[in-house]
Amino acid sequence: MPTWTAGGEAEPVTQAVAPPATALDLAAAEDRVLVAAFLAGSQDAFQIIVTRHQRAVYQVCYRFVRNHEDASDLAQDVFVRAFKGLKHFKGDSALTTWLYRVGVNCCLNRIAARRPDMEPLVEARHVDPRSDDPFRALAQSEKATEVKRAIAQLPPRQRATLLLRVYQELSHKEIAGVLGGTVGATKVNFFHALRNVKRLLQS
Amino acid sequence: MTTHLSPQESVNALDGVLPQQRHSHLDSCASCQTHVDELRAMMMAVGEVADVPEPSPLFWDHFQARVQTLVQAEMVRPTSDPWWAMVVSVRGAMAAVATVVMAGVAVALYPGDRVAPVEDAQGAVADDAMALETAEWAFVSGMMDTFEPDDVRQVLTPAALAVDSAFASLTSGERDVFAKLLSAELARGKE
Ligand SMILES: [Zn+2]
Repeated sequence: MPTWTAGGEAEPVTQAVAPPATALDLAAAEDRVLVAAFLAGSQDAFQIIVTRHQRAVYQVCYRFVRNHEDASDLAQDVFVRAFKGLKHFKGDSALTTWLYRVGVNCCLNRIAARRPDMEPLVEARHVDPRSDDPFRALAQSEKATEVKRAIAQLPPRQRATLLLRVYQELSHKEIAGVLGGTVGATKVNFFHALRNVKRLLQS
Repeated sequence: MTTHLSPQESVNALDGVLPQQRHSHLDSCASCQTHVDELRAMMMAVGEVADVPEPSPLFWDHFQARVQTLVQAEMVRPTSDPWWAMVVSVRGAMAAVATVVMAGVAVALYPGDRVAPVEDAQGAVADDAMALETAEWAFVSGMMDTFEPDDVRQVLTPAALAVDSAFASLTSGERDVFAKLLSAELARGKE
């Protein structure tokens, strides 16, 4: 794990004394404490925030762009924006929700900047020929590909709602917090997202 | 015959939070049952393709290193000083301002000799700011010269307010942890 000291000097790995109390305390600290510590100047606190949320942020980004390189770039961008914008984090929602909001904005901007024909293709199918029933596996893989393709064709807001609800398991209230708007509007969005996936699969 | 479920109510039915009265309609309406079943089937179909390939174990270290590099590039100052360093910077800035003011007074008092009184004034202020290294003084003064007043306000004010706000939102237990963290950071900063 890289050290985050400004001078770039890595701390010695082995020390005669016990490891600094900060590392232990920070690892166990709640997000709100980490944010306050970061705003007060603790770079270690920001490191823990990144470490703690990097996988979830990466997964959200991946589900939007469906390839590792773009997801990795976007997730990095999310944390850079968080670094600059955490002073605006009010603490009235979970830090995860706030990071998702930043992440969804990054993803939607990335998608909006692309021409439709530049949208990445759904990633290649992987069917294990050693599986018990390769034909069934192939059928499942093809179905999965079609579903992913249908999700990729949804309007951005419906797509975001669907991804956050089904994969990140956010409540409609949390999704409203991420995307803005009312809980009722979020539910209607979710309804239309599912209906459109069905329509796209049938077409 | 009551009205069919609205889109919002259909989602409530999916989530199992449909009010009893509307649930009675759902139980007795084949059309609404079909719609809700289709939504549920779509939700399951979408849920079954949830796979996000796990990156290699080395990826996360590289990721953190990249984020570190990027955030350091974003910072105005080349170092990521803790907050108490800002106090020193502010002190340096105040000393620099005092230098200018005293130099101005000296120039007004000794209009015929513009060099020596300025040096005297700087020496007096330097005595007052003994903790500051010469290089840091020059750096801080240089930085202050390049800042517009709005820049200074933006650099200093929002972070301070944000810290106050974030601290105010903490519970007493969280404040204890916060205080310990800062004490440890301060101790480390003195090393
Ligand atoms: Zn009905």
